[in-house]
Amino acid sequence: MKATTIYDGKHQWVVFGRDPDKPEKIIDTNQYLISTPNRTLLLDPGGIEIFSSMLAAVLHHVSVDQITDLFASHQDPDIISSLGLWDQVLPNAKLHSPWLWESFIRHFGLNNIEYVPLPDDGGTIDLGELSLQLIPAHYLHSSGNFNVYDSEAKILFSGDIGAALEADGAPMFVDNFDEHIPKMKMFHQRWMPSNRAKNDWVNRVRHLDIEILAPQHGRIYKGDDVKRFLDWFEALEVGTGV
Amino acid sequence: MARIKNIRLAEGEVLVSVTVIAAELSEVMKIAKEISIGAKNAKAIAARAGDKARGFQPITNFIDDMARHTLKMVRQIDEEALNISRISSQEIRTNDARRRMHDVVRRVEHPSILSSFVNIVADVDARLLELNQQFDRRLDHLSELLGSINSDMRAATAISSSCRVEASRAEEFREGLSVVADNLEKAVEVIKKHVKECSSRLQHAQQLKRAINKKIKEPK
Repeated sequence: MKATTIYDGKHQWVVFGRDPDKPEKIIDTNQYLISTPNRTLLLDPGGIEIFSSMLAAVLHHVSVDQITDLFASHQDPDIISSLGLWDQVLPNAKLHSPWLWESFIRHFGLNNIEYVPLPDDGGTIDLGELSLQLIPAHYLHSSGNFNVYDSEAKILFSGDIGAALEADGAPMFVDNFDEHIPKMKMFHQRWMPSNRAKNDWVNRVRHLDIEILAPQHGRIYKGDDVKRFLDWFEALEVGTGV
Repeated sequence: MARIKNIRLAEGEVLVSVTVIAAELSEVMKIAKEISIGAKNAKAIAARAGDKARGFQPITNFIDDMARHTLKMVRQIDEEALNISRISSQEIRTNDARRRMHDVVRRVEHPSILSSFVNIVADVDARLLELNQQFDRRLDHLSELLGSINSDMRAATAISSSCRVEASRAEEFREGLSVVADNLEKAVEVIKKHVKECSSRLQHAQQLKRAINKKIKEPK
């Protein structure tokens, strides 16, 4: 699995993805790691099928006892179906995830890890030296859904917002926004159900200082492409499945 | 020994085999309850027959005791099969975790990176071994319980013959008491058939389990 450091300051952000060992017909996912000197958080650690590749890749950056927290933006299998396996590897960890999905996510197997239910209006994840803001992103696409904002690194982990369906081995960053649009248009129109939720999110996120917008599928947006994405998304009609 | 190609499929087959045992025995429970009711009816007939069915009265008590014992065994088997089914599910999940963790060990190029991870892998290995031993112990217990029902049924076969002899001496009550003997004989045959099916599933599960354990230990 490919690992790319996207921020290297007092703490680090690493994205893992483009797994060549991933079984066919499984959507490619980006998993993120945020490590501070004493704590490590994995954002949307992924599905069962990529667990081995993911853990092997993570161990090149931190030891297993440094992984203290997991975050699941919502309940989908590509986000967190590996939970039953992490539960055996990280028995003392915490899982931060929407309260709405607790009784559903527990079906993936949760015997040891502590579930920290996130209230609808968000809050923070405290990693000691670093505090991460939880940005509500409900109905984008899941009805209980959060983004994670790091004001120090100026990174917004946006989950399925900004996601694109790409061929295997696609580059990690958007290099031409206009060419990227066809890869993400259907994804947003079909998976996102609510224009109201979308516009509300865009308005709130515009007030954040964002250098990198990091989705869970496809490429990452940097610099001016972040604003381009917000403008494009605001103008897009979603919920087109009916 | 059973030969297996795919460990995951074989693990699923073991789980299904032990779970089906409980379902199979629900029929036995129904029949045992009918035997118990039949024994109570026979007791009433024997009481009415008085001296003409003197030999029959202790037999009805025996039939009722045997039916109660069979019911008790079936309930225990039901509980044990459920426990085994749970252990089997845990084993499947733990084995999956173990497989994936060993895969991590193979993928990481520098052993020093794994220093904090090896203990976790060792813990999972130990947990799997413990589950394996629990599974084997409980499977042996299940086998004993099935054996106990078989013993009951052998006794019941002998009792049904005695029933028939005693019924033939009961003059006008002969027909009513012969029905008791017939019903008992039929019920015993049906229970034997179900127990045989369960034993065969149990044996299959045991063989598969041994083959899985052997395959897990094989070098990659």
